[in-house]
Amino acid sequence: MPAEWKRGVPGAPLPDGNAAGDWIAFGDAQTGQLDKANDRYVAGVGIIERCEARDREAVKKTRRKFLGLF
Amino acid sequence: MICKWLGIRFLGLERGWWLAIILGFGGLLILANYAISGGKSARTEAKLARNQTEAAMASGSDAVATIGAQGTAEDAVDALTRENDHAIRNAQGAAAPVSDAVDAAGRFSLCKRAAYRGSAECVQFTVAGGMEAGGSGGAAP
Repeated sequence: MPAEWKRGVPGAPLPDGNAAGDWIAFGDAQTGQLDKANDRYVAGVGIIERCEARDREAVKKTRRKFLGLF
Repeated sequence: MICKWLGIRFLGLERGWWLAIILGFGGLLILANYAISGGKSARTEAKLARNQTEAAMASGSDAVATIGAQGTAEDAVDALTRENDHAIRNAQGAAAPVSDAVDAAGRFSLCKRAAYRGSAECVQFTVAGGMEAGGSGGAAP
């Protein structure tokens, strides 16, 4: 995993000024950061799940067979 | 012969030797399997190591591809954020100020969140007092 992922997704920059637009733009940007965080979680879990499945399959393929047949 | 005797004695079989043959054959199968699979243990371990190495390599490639795709997705998120920012700031009434009290309360609230602890703007609240220490993260550049 990249080090950046371990640090977590940062919050959006605080509003530039005290205008309504500044605050609303901040809210939208923060939602974008939330989307990134959620996507990273799904991606990270997917990597781990697929890795575990491959490892299970590797062990299964190696399992001894009865009389070398079954 | 023991099997034949067991067959006659305990199972009441007239032809106990059938049981002898069945048990003998079963024993032979077990012995054969032991001989075949037992002799292959070193080869099995080598095969397991090879299979696991291949799996690990596939997982490494998977991770690189997934992280790359995530980077592309995050670029798209940032692009949408810029687009939305432009639309919001150009909307009618966007320049209307919120009251100083609401603005200050909003910033102070955000500074209590772990994501903003340590950010330059929040440090002044810490110095002024009232902020708890600790936390992680930080504002996006």
